[in-house]
Amino acid sequence: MKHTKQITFAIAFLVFMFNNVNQSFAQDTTIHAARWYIGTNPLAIPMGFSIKAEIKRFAPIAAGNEYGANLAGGYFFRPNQSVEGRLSLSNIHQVAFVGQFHLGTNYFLQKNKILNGQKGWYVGGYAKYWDFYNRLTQVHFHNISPYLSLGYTKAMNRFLFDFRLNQTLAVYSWSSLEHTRAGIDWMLSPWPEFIPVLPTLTLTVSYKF
Amino acid sequence: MSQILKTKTARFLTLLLLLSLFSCQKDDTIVQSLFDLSGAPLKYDDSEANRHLNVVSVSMICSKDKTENTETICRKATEAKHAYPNAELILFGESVLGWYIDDENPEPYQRSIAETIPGPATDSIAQTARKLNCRIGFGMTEINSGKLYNSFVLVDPEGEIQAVHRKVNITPDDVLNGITPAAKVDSSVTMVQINNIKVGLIICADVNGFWLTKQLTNRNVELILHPMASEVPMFAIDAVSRQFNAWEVFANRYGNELERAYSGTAFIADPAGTIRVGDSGREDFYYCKIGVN
Repeated sequence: MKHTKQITFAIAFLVFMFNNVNQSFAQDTTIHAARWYIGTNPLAIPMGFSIKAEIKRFAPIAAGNEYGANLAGGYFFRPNQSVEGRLSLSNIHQVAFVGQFHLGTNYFLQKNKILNGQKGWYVGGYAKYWDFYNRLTQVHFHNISPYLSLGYTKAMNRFLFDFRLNQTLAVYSWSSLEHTRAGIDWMLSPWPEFIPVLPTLTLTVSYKF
Repeated sequence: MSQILKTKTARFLTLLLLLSLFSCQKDDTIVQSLFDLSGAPLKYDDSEANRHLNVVSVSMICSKDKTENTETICRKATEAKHAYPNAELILFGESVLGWYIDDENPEPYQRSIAETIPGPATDSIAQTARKLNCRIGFGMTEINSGKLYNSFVLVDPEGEIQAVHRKVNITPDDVLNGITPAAKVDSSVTMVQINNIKVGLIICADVNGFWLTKQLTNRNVELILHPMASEVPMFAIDAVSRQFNAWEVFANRYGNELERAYSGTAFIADPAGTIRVGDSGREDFYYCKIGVN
């Protein structure tokens, strides 16, 4: 069957990611205050605007490859586990507009600490979809990519300061361009000849409610 | 969720929406990042294409001596044509009549290797093109009315100069070399028809010019000829062909010129950004029969 490998891969990843979520909703009846949070990656915002070329070329690595307007939101369905979505919409330069959406879960290694206003390390598993849209040619390049995160969150009153390292694993891409078929590949770095493994960093400032 | 929080969230989302609408780049320079290179190679099917062109991309070592380079261009074109008798166009890198820049003496050196178009170098290469019955494209420093231009000459199989493109988006190195940029006017947009394919000529950092990109995409360019002097390693996907929605032939130089180490990265990529043929780290040439759907 066409794309069997890709579909199996995507299903396995989603099952892995959401298995814990379903179980937790069924079992965890503890009521925690301030389960929801909403925030933004402040370093990504300037990436959508005119900044120095030398900065613009590589700074997106420190902004998790998020550009311009972005929103992160999540829900703690267990004291030490959250599900999180991230949305970013921006022109990345004069030619391309990129819309991206991430969905995944963070598992905190020290139970109960985050909701009680402290700090802690976590690991996360995410899937990221982005549409690289060429505004001059009207061609879309769609991509889905799983990635892993290692992060640290510090809670201060109702604010969460989150710093994480993200490592992309693979990518599945397709396009609106005619005569083009989808492709899949491992992707530890977008430019392996330049640097074989390239994690990105993300800083998120959120508000709990 | 309380009414206040709902209001705050709505305001926050509105602000983000406004930010996304106003995100912009004001100047003409397109700054590509690693994000432009992210994605898996796609499969572009040109098996049903009805227009074709057999092209060769060359990566060559450039000497400081102009005469030696002119001979090398003619010799390599002959070798490429013998290896690929179907070749209809052989493309060399940017400013291949000499070093891209002599950091110790930039402008005087460029003046010493600069030539008029036509001139001795173009005459010699045109003769080879005629002998091989093949187009040859190459970059050179042109002198015209005392001004230097970073130019790209395309010679046709009859040995006539088919097109000359002058670099529009010059780099700081070009400035040191004393290069004058071509004006951003219609006559600086260079396109030719080969085998009924719309071919656009650009040089190196021209690719970062939004104005030129827009001019070429508005004219529905189908193939970009792109001579470079580049130190970058090989890409996994080609952002330039995606930028133009066109095939790209990327030709380069290899080796050290004082402290600069040119990578030799040269390739031919289809409009989906998939590199069909090419490599890095050596002097070589790469052939591809491109099909335009």
